[in-house]
This record gives sequence, structure tokens and C-alpha cells, in this order.
Amino acid sequence: MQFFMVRESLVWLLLIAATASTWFISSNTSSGVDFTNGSRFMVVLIAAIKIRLILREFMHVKGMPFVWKAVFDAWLLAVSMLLYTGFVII
Amino acid sequence: MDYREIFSADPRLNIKQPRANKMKESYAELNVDENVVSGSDTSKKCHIPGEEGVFIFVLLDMVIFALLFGSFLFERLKNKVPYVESQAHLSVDLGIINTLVLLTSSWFIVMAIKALQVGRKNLSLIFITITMSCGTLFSGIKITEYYDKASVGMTLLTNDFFMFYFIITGMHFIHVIVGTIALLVVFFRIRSNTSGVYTLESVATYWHMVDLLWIIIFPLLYVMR
Repeated sequence: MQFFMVRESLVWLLLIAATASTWFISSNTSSGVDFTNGSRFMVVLIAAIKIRLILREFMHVKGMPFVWKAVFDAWLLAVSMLLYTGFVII
Repeated sequence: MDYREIFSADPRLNIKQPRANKMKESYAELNVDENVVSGSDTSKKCHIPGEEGVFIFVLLDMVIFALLFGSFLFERLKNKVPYVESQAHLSVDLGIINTLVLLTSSWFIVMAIKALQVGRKNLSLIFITITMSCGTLFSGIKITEYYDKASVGMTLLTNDFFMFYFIITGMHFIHVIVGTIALLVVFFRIRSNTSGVYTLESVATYWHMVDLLWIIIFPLLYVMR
């Protein structure tokens, strides 16, 4: 059990909690409440946080050379903006 | 006489050795690679886990998926109504379960690397098996989902939404299958001592990509309205 007492286990718990938040937003809106721009923003933000956690903590991008970190962050920013633009702005 | 020779000749200077040197000697006695135990090359400030080529492949794959996501959103803007109506047929609950399954699998592959780094091979093999089981469970849920859709006549040709749904999730599904097979191969290679941490880290990088792509696919197709 002591083997699981590592930083990555805490990251996993955070990822599960973030997924539960997305489920909560989704179930709230499907039960009659309108899907507001605020809800959409939160869903995109949660997804972006989850991906950054996986990139940095699981894939260990945080320990990689700057170019790699910049490229992965650029991809994440581009995809997040794409989702936000597609569902919220336009 | 060189000053290094003077110091090495003085026995008093060898009484207290730095702790790091003692650690190195211990690793040498146990015939263990110090870098393997620590999990990173301590001689370098920056460290790329596993094969760098895998990261290049992963990045290219992520760019291709980003283009697919962009195409979906662009086509959706032309006529949102059929997209919103068709999306209502997807099960958010199954999507959530699949997200939890993949996140858990990613955590276990990280733990498998950690176990192998400290020489606990059997524990690492158990964690790899759990990761593969998660991959299989994801595939099972996905096949059930496809079967449900096909049984009520929803196919690739139904409309644009379902075309994108089957192409995006289908491509991702193929990645899951490839990842599960790669895990199976690395399982047997580690068991027979023909591969180590380096190979496992490379496969793990690919597996994490499968996970993070799903984290985008899930809100894109299932949640956002």
C-alpha cells in the first residue's frame, strides 16, 4: 500500500475528481437546465487541466527540454481554443 | 608530484567518503545500473522518458486528431440542428465510464514503470496486466456502444454527425487496440528480461496519448451542446 503513496496517485485522484465535475455539469444540463456558456467554458477548462496534468505528471513532459514542453503546450492551447471557439464564441 | 596524487596518497582523506560515492559503490556491488534505479539519467538536466521517436510519432498523431476535431467543429457550424439531435443518442454515462477506465489505466502504467525502476518486476507485470485489462474493458464498452447504434440503424452514412462520430472514435479505438497489443508484447519481453524500463516508458508514452485524446473526444462528441 505504501507503494501507492506517490505524487502520481494524487494526480490520478485529481483527474477522477475533474471527470466527476464534467459528469455533474453534463447531468445537470441534461435534466432541463440550459447548457450555458459558463458550463461550456468549465467543460473546456476541465479538459485542458486534465490533459496538462497527464502531459506533465504521467508523460513527464515537465522534465523534458523546453522545446518539447512548448510544443505540447501549444497543441493544448490550440485544441482548447478550437473547442471554445467552436462551441462558445461562434 | 601532482596534487591529486598527494590527496589520494593521504589515507586520512579516504576516511569520510561522500554518501553519493557510497551509493554508487552499493549499486556496483548489486550489479544494478544507477540510472535505472533512479529512473532518470542523473547526468542530464532534462530527461526524455523512453524513445524520443515515440514522442515525435505521438505529436504527429495528436496534430492529425486536432485537424479532425477542427473539421468536426467547422462542419457543425454550417448546420447545428442535426448535430445536436444526433448527439442526444449518445450515452454520456458510458463516455464517463470509459474516461475513468482510461485514466485508471494511465495511472497503473505509471506505477508499472515505478515498480520496474526499483526492481519489483512481478509487481510491474501485475500493473501492466491491469492496464491491459482496462484497455480491453474500454474496447468492450466501445463495441457495445457501436452495436447499440448499429442495431437502431445509426451508421457512418446516417448523417454528418455520425460520420464524424464513427471516424473519430473508430480511429481512437484502433489506437486503443494497438496500445493493448504493444502492452502485451512489452509484458512478455519484460517477463523474459529482453526489455526494461526504457521500452516500457516508450509504450507508456503512447498509452498516455490514447488517454489524453479521449479526454478531448469525450466533451467534443458527448458533452458539449
